[in-house]
Amino acid sequence: MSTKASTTKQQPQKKPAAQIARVGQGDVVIAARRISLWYGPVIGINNISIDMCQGVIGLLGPNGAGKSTLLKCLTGQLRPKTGGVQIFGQNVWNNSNVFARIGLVPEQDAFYEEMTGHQFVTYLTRLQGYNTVEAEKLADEAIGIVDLQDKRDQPIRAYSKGMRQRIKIAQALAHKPDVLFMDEPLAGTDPVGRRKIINLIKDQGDAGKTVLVSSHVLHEVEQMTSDIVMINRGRIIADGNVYKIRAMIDAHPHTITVDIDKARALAAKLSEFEDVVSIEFHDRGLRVATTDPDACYQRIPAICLDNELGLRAMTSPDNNLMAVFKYLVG
Amino acid sequence: MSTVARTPSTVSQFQTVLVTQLMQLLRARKTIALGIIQLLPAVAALIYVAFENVDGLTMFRNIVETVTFPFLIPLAALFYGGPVLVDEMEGRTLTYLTLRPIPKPALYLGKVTAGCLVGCLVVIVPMFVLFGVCLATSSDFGATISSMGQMSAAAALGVICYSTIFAMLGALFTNSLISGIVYFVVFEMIMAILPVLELLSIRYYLRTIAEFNTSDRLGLLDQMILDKPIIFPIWAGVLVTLVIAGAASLLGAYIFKEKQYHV
Repeated sequence: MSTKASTTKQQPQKKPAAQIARVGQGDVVIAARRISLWYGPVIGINNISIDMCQGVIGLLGPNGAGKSTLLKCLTGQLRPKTGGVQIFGQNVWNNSNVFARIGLVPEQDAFYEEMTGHQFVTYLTRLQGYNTVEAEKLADEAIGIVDLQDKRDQPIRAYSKGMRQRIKIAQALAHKPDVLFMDEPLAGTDPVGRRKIINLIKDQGDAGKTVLVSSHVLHEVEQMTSDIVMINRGRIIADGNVYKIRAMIDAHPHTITVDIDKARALAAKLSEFEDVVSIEFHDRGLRVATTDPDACYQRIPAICLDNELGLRAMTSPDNNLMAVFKYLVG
Repeated sequence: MSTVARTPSTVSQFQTVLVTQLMQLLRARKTIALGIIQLLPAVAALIYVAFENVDGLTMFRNIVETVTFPFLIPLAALFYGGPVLVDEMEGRTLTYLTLRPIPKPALYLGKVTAGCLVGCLVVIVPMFVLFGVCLATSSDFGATISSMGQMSAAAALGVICYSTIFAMLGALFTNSLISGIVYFVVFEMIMAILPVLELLSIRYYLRTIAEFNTSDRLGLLDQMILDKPIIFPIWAGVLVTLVIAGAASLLGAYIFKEKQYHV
């Protein structure tokens, strides 16, 4: 059993409302205190206090959890009804000094469609206070980083979804911000583009910048960072190292769906193990609930191979973040 | 290059917004559409001149007073004033701009200024075309030129006034078309025909600047409470329109600075 598996018996700790979550390394860059924002009767975020330091930080939560609202409050697009946000010790709301040091990759697929990629990045970089020559140079650099040099003079309306995502990242990077906010940066990207963006995000974090990446896909964020904040229904439900979160998750039964020819034979073998909590049959095989998913993932193929049980596929619906949150808030 | 050390110049950023917005508006399809609409009076005048023996100056004044001032100028402002921000909100591109180290009022004023300039261009160029058509049949060239200058100035002030008001309403209600139309109907169509209350309409001051019908401005309703029409000097008309445009711009900039937009 792995060391990670040895922690699986811990019970998840729900965060007390007054506690200040802290993620990242080094000095505090973003500080939010007791921020709440609601839209009429609907709560967007609820009494969030968090310190974010340097490095890449994953902001995880299912759709509608409040990630985008939190990002908008942290970037000063929205003013919280209560509490406040500071970046580098300065209030964010209506503070253009702070905006010189941040970059945002927004979630929405919105552009000045008639502009070329280069014009788009240059225009926005000029608004950072650079003259035309400097802005063009920085735009070229940023477009190079996202690997769009050969498409830089095409109008954005002719870009593919992945290219649009990359030009959005270029405009956020061009002025070399110290803090980068990225709302679902991997949406719509192909596997190669995804890998490049993940590496780019890691590079920014390695360069000592604070990069807050919002996503609802746990495994995507795990490839970028081990520092994560989990949010659900407007509240932070867990924060810290992803392995700590994983351990909390793993303490709960984890479902593995197995497509197999000889389901009953596999069930008989699996029932001998203590970590197997339940077994259910379905039309193409069985579903196993286990408290030690890592061991079980290794065990099932081995048993199938040794006994020629005809294993076709093994999937885990628990990779869906919603299932993870059900465990944590459960 | 560090972002910390930079102190962006607001004037330079204002220019960047202004020039970019100008280019976007000049290339926009709506500018072509509006240009065609604005040219329709000149086309109509051309047909009229070809078949009727009319005095050019009289025709020019009549068209400007009955078509350009009450309809074409507000229409241009609806096209370019209100949408300056609302288009960014609806297109969800506002986020790119508001997260830059440019003061929000400078951003707002840069976009509104561009809208006013293009609006003036789209209104005044067709007025010159109309003027050219009418000039062919004018008996008094000198008076016609002077009148054209006066009407052009009134038209420009009208575009600026309406555009700043519609932009302010757009910033307040995040919807330029409905708020602009409501304003136009209430202030420029209903109040403009009521005694004394007509002073609340922009059109009243534009007519003052252009010296339209100053002698017979006493309508049926006016006669019930007034002995003679209320007539301001030209400079007062100019002053009032400038004050309205300035106040609407500042108010709009303040609203934009303080209001949260859910983009």
